[in-house]
Amino acid sequence: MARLKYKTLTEQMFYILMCMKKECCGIDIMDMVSDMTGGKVKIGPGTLYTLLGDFVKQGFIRETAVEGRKRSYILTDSGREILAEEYMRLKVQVSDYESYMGEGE
Amino acid sequence: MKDKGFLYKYHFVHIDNLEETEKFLSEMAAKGWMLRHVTGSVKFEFEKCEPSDVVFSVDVFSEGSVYDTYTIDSNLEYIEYCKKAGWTFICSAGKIDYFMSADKNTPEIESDQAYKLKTLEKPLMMTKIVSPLLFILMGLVFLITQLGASRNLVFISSLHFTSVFLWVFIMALDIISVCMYLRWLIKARREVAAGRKIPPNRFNLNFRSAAVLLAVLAFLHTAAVLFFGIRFDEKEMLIYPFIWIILLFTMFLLHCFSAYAEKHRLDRDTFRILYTVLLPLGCSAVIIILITASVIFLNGKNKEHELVISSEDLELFGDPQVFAVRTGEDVHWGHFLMAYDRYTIEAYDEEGAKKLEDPDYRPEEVVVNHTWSFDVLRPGSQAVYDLMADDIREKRFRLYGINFDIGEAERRPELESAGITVWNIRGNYGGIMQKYYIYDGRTLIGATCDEDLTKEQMQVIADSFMR
Repeated sequence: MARLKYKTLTEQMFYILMCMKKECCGIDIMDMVSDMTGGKVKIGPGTLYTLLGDFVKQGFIRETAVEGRKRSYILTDSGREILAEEYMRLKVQVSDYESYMGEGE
Repeated sequence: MKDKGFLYKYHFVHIDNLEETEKFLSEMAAKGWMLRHVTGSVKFEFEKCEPSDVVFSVDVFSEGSVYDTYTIDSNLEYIEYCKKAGWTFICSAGKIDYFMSADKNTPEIESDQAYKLKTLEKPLMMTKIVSPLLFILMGLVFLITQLGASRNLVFISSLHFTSVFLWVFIMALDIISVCMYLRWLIKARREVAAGRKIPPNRFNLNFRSAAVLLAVLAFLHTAAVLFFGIRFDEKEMLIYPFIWIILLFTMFLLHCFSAYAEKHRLDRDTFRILYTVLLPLGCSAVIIILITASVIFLNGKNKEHELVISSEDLELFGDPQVFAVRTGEDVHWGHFLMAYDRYTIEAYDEEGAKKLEDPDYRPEEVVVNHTWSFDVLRPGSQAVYDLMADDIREKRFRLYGINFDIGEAERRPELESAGITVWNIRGNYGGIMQKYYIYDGRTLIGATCDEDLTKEQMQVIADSFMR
């Protein structure tokens, strides 16, 4: 089921997952994504909250520490896997573009 | 102390059109009223502030509870996230959290539309599908029992009519509402799949459309009630237009009051006393006085009938063991549709008869040997009279509102010749009783009697009414 649901990650999910390569606090992800993309991708706090809960449920990330109301998370193996799959998918898209559009020129 | 202005405003929050609420709150802030508290997604409390250009975010918190969302740990955590993004938390009401920000570029709380729709659908399922369907079901059960099982019931009561009318109205409204919601849901899913924003559902009641709807309902109901009230000469029906006028007037008054408070910055306590105590109390007092006055006025119009039987005729009720006969205590209940009276004729034995002769006798000392008691129904209007007369001519038995018994016509040739029709009835009186209809083409009475009456006895009672 999990696989089916996350066959493709949305842009926001992709960036959120990337942020947790190293252990990080959930609340900081908004700023991290904003910095990473130069403010191009903005994550809404509500969406981030819901997604984090969902990712934990799916086993893509796990909780590492709870400090008051601040929770920290880190990517799990299956999280890395799904991120890599998404990367491959995007890469295929890019190479398809290059081979097809490049030919045309 | 600085004079602080408080203001209550009613606004319906619709989960499928939260943009409307956000817009409403921004407009209030621009007018100088900042949101402070929300009760039950209806009552908004504002505090006087400098007119400011701010944006609001009204969102459903998916893990919220209907009762007390704010104190839930996960909600506090969620609020932290929103604060971090630049939103100022104002309050929670039900599953909805209210945030404010002076910066128009603050990122939206729900940036993923697919997730947002998923969050919205859960509470909407209850309010837009389950509860309307339950209402429709309740309405169906009501209509089946009212119109199906009691189809023989000639109960042209205004209350009966009004309840059927209201239920049909509610059911129609619910059916439309469910259809419009499903239409919106399909559209929203399509928009989200296409990567666009969730469109607001415009088919929702706001304060103004609710007032219009209520006015339409009041107009339709009043028209129907006046028609039937005049057709069946049921004066009690005329109370309903009064009630509607008062109700609509009350709403208008509340609206005016709210506008006044907004303009004159009433302080909180004055506002609260006026709004929550005096106004409702005043309105209910007016309604009660009007209803009571009408009932007294209309009831006063009911004429009572006195059973007058000559002493010679009373002897018809005697037998060899009976030494004195007289009419006993009478009971009269006034009805607009039909007058209901209970008469008794008492017979005394030798000892009782002797005591009756003593001018200072005490009723409890006198032994009643035998009692005939019968209930008389007199139709109060021409329409009901015609109906009952038809039934008698066609030997059809029906239930006439106040008489919930089932029975069948029985042939009694000796009484029929006197224009009297007899039914045996069984019912909540216990046992079997006789029901007589006396009809002379002009006056009509129906009597329910404890035991068989002879033709002569019945004729005596009939004569008393036919006079």
